[in-house]
Amino acid sequence: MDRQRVPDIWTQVATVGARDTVARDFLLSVMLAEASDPDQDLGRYKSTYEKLLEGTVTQSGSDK
Amino acid sequence: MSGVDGGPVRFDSIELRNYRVYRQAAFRFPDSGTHDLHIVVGHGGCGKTNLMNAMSWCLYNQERYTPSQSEGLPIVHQSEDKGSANVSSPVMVKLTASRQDPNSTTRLTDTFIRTQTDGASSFRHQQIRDRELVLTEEADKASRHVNTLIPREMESYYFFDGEKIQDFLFNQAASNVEPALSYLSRIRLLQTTVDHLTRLQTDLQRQIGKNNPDMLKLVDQKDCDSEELRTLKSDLERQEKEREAAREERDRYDKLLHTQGGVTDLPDRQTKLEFQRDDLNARVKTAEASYRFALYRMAGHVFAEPAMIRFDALVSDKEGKNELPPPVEPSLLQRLLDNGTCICGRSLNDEPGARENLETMMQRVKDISHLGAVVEPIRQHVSFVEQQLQREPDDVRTLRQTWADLRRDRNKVVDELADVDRELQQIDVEQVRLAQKNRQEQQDFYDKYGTDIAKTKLEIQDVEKRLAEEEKQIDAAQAKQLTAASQKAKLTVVNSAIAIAKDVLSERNSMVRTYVSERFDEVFHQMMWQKDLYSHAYLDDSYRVHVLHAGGGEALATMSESEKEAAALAFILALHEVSGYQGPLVVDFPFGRTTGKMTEQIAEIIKSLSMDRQVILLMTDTEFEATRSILQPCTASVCALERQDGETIVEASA
Repeated sequence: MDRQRVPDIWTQVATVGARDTVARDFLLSVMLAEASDPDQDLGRYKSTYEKLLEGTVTQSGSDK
Repeated sequence: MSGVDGGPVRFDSIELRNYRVYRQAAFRFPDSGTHDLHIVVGHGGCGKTNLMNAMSWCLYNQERYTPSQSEGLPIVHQSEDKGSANVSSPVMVKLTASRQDPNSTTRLTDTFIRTQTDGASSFRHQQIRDRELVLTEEADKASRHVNTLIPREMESYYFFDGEKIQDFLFNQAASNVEPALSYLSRIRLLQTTVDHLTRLQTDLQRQIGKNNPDMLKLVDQKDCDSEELRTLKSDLERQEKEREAAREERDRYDKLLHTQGGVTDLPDRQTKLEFQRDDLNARVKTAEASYRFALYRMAGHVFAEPAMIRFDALVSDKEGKNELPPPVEPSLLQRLLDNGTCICGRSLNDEPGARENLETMMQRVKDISHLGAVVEPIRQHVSFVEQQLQREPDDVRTLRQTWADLRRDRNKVVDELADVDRELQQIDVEQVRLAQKNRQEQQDFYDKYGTDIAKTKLEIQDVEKRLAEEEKQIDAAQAKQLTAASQKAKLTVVNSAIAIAKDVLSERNSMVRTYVSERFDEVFHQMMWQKDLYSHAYLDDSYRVHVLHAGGGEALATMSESEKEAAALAFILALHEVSGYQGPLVVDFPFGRTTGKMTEQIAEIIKSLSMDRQVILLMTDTEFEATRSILQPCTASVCALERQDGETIVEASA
């Protein structure tokens, strides 16, 4: 039987967000953080995301 | 998608100790032959459902189905001779599953062990590759591992009751399908990510708009609406859970009412029959009175008739002999007496005794006249009695029949009432009444939550529209704002990340439904024996299952039981395959709704399914006999369950 599976989410985000790699990488890193520890509280989320965002922006600035 | 990239998961064995009906038992499901088909056979109460429950208890710490006779009882094995639970004995279920290692040609074996002693439970997972222990996990980590193999969200699509399999096709199933697919396709993860990124976005917007009161106002408004949206979504989730809980409770009461003698309306029937009995008793009394009255009236006529006929005959006889004088006008004699003159003109005083004779005659004439006057009415009465007697036996017979019919009806009702009383004595009437009341209560809850859900969905749509408008206004305000470049850059990244996530969400939602629909349609048509009858099987936007007739129109309701079962199986397989989480099919009572030819058709389908996935059937003796010729030649194992000395014994044969 030909089994058609839903592509995995990481591949799909990479495909959809291919035109904006910075935002896409940031989104993927946030999703990974979310998936690896789904029980985090909101405060920790925010600080994690803020750090990831800071890192993404700094990196993208230094790339330029 | 993570999960079983190495191939379908199968159960190699399960061991049970002190689990419900099992004191010590082991089932082996060898992967041998062309079909991975395993049969566990036993009569009711032997432990088939217990076995399925043991699997789900081991993996998810929750029993899949709790039969009414086990409800509320401790999970630990109860020895029948002692009549009490061995509470201090440890309960243990050890389930061994295996699959192809995605990174090599070897197989990975996962063993899950759940134990419970004195109410305290533990859960452990061990993974073995090439006979080497490569991983040991406890508690939450072990549970997470289960979810990477056969996720809890899909539990009902791995372990199910064949009798209820069709439930997957009807409306209430939609509320289960959506969260399962949402979890499996990581839509839920993406939704949470979007939610959290929106909070981050709001914080950034607030920082940027510090010196712009209008923008801050907009950001606050958006924040407020976002919070409202979160609350509404959480309300929606709660309402859906509550509705599902109400449905489950309602179904549980239905089952309870069903097991209470198989009749849910005994108390109502009793009341109705008592009313019928009282009504019939009253009618029997009235009919009896009518019958007796008619009978006595007839008897009166019967007794009166000979006397009257004799009298009439006597009068006739006298008439015939001319002995009955014609009626004489008494006034003539009276005039003669009054005048004192005879007809011949002589004085009555001149003839001795003449007056006395005339007076005697006068009296006789009077008598005769009287007799003559009564003869005619008596004759008329005799004629009436004769007519009555001709008619009355029929009337009386009819009345007697009516009386007998009513007595028969009354006796029937009384007998039926006695049956109901007997059945009611065997069940707990109060429990049934309470269950009926509770069932209705749950149905009302279910309906109420249905209305609430529709309302909440509309509110969510409104807030989402409002938020989109506010986003636009904030963007416009932000464009005019002179702020630090880094803040703007951060916000730009977050905005783009949210936009990407929303695009993926929308695409993925539709993709998941489309894939399941397509696969469902494909598998359904492969399974159907009358392929031309149905044109299309699909999942709609609300996750409801549809099957269309070749000529158009919904077919689900009119399909045969076996077709519905096949459609449900096709749907389950589509979910397994599209999600990538392919586990075994464990089916309790697989032919519960089918008979004869239909049973054979489903047996053939199950047989072909077992060629590329594991199927474990928990069957009754009757089901086994009905399908033995089809299934047994390709089974990899058959285990028979027997009750001995208060416990279930497993007898295996390859």
